[in-house]
Amino acid sequence: MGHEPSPPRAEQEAGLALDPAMLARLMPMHLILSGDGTIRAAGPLIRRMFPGTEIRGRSLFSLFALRGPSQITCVAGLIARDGQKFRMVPQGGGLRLRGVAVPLARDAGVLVNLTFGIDIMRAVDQLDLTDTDFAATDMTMELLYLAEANALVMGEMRALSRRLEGARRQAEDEALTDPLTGLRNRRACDAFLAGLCREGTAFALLHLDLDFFKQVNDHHGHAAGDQVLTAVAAILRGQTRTRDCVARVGGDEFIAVLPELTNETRLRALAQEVVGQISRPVPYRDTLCRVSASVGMVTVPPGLYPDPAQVLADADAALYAAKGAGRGRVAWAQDLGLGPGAGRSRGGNADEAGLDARE
Amino acid sequence: MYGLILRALQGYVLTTFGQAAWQRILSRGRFPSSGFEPLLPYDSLVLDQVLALSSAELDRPVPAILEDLGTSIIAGPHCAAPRRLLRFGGAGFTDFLLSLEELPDRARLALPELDLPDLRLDEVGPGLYRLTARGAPMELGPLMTGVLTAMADDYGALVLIEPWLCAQGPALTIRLLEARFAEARRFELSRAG
Repeated sequence: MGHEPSPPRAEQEAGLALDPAMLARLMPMHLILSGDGTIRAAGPLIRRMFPGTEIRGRSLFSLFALRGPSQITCVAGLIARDGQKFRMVPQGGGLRLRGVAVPLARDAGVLVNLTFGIDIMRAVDQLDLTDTDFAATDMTMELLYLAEANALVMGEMRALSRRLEGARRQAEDEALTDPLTGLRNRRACDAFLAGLCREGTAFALLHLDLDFFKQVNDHHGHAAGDQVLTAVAAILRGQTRTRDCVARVGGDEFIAVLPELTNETRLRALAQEVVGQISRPVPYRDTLCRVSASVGMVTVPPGLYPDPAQVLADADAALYAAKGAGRGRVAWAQDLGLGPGAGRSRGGNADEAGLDARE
Repeated sequence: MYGLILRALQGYVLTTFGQAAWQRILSRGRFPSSGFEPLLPYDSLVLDQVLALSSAELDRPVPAILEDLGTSIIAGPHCAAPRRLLRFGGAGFTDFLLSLEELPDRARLALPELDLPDLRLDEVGPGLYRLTARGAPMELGPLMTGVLTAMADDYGALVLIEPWLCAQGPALTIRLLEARFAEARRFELSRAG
């Protein structure tokens, strides 16, 4: 500044000659102030902020609070910013503006150019702006376009994530479900059991095997067998809680894992109820299918962290004992000297002591 | 880009011809019954195959399907977004045409992996423009015709769009007969509008 020679006076005047309409086209958010802060001219976009009010002739400082960064209360303060930005808010609040002020030649006042800055989104909304309201060089349209395109892409991303998550859950569920009965399958049961063993949670495990199931299949066909399996699944589901894991783990083999249920009386009653219900004939077409169930049971007290394979082996041994003692029986692994809590009822004939008669 | 076109085609066939027609197209092509994802990458061969299957199922030539698809992308009931994004190109149809050269870069701002072909607009006479998509698949020609016809409608402009033979890629001539032939459809910058 100051070092360049001043241009000749004629050129200086030519440089300032700008029709107000042309100025409005270049800077739709400009203000021209006189030395005392009175608004002499205002761009159309600024006037839009005061619908029904003529702001020309009013003082800028009565309409707006200016800061840059300290309060600016007069035109001299504006000029002192020397081309630096300042901020401007309507008195009483509203859209925030950002601007710059330059003095006009020959003490013709001050030219202020403004922008909504980051408040442009709110301004578009509140002032109902259209693309013709902005200067041709203004980047607002690009900004609005980008904001909308981004929101769109994010929305699609969210929708895609939701669809993928749904598909993942469904695939997971299908991988853990027995399609015939809707019970869990071996894989789900193993994972559930492993989790309880790892956490040291107390639980009971019932290993159930149908008696005479092969005869049903042989005499009445596989559809009858399927009917029986579905009925057994319904009985097991009815006798267990939603937090229990009930699985079909083989052709006619089922396992129920019951977390935090080790009360012996309740478990015996539950096992007897299941065996009793399964012994009732299942109607299939014009015939009745009769099966019964043998159950091997094991309980695991809390804090024991047993090997899941051992728990299954103990339950299996109890089931084997139940089968050996006749059909429709329940055998308790602990009574056979097996299982993590074994030794409680040692002595006596294990085969005898371990068996609960059906009736 | 193919994901977006496939998804648009899916929406168009579903709304115009129904679920059964679309499921037949998918199953004949051994595509998953859930259809296509707009943001997942697909090979151009997938689009070729789906277009061929759609042509057989709907008994219409592929270019006709593509032109209708272009129109439905802008004017169809299922998605307002493409029309809105294109309207950001300018206040009038001529401004909009001029903004098309920027379109691939605009699209990349929002979705960097989106690879739109380079578009070039030449004014070859008063009110006569030539739009070329250099290196783009020829299918884009009828699709652009449909999109531009619908956008002209949106701006209330009367235009005549014809394919133009060009070795570099699909090209169109656009004759602007009347910029303000009808009332333009309202376009509010704020999305709530």
